[in-house]
Amino acid sequence: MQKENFKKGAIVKVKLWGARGTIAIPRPETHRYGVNTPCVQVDAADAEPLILDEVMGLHWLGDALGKGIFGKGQGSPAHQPHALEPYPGHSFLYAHARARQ
Amino acid sequence: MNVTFWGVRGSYPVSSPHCTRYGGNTPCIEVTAQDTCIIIDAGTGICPLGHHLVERGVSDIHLLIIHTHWDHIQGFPHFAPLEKSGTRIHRYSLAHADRSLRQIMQQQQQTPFFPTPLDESRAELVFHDLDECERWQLGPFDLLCKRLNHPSYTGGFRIECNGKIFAYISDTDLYGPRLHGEGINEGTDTEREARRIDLQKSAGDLAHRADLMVCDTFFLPDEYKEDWGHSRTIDALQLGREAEVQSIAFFHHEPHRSDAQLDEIVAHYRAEGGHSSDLFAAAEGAKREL
Repeated sequence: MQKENFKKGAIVKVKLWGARGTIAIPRPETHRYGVNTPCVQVDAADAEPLILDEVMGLHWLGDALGKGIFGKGQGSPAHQPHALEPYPGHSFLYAHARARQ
Repeated sequence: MNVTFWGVRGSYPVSSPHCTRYGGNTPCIEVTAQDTCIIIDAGTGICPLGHHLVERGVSDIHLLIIHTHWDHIQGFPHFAPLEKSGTRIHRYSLAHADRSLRQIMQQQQQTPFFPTPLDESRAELVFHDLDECERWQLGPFDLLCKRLNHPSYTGGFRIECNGKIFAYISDTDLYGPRLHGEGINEGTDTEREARRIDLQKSAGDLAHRADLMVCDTFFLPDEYKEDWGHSRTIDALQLGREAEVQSIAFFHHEPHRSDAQLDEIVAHYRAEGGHSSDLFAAAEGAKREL
């Protein structure tokens, strides 16, 4: 289990990738808080990233893990935003797979 | 007829400061004439439209769904008229071989995926499973549905009203080498190629001399993947030329495509010249009167 990788007393970083409930309805008025549905990343030194919920925020998280912006990227160094290859109905599953590479 | 774009994005909704002008909601278009209201697709764009319809007191709604992949149905459980008694919602989609449209939509809202079953909606729901080449009438509209080249059972629509023609051709690979779709991939290579050509001709039939054609332009030419069932910008332009289309709306935008990129794409093809159709990129909130 990933929780075993988190050491007692370690500094944990939490990043919110999606904070909206129910459904993602983008509007120009909502870009500061965002409309992606729940997805949270929890990082600690020497630990695998822990991902809570896997909805619309996950495609951006998939990008970030690929690029390693938290310093422990798990994906291809050449990974670019377009390489996420969104597909109807499969996008978040695909991102999830990338995140676990 | 009046055409209003409520959602233009393909695959999944996106929220970004880079996508504010064209919008991030998944497909939904409203077509109205006189008192008849047609909606095409139930992507997330149908959510704000639903509140608008309730405010306007619209009680008869005709919803056309090109296919039941997530990005074309994900807004439906949150469609405000579902909770209005006295509202009647007609849903039209290509028939599936193994189950009815009602069963598919019940599955979308069944536990544990959603808290409220479809059958608890206050609105009356009427389902219409369409044949692969079906014509019917709704008020002042003459409609035609034909099957297109995309996974699952996917159709396109042609809507005529007072001599004007609107064509909706989203989610199809117009000129690619592969045949896509359930129930049509049997037979020899020759038979399958003939079937693919038939679907290509169907797109031409839907678009023929349309005043406005909304068309799948998910890919730029160098992004094309032949196993996805989507088209390129240049495919839409080719269909527009072959079918003598007046105006083309690039549609089903790739999720990461920014406002600046869409501006650049349209400017590129306009500057290139030689295209017989006027062209623009569909944007949320845009309206066209035909």
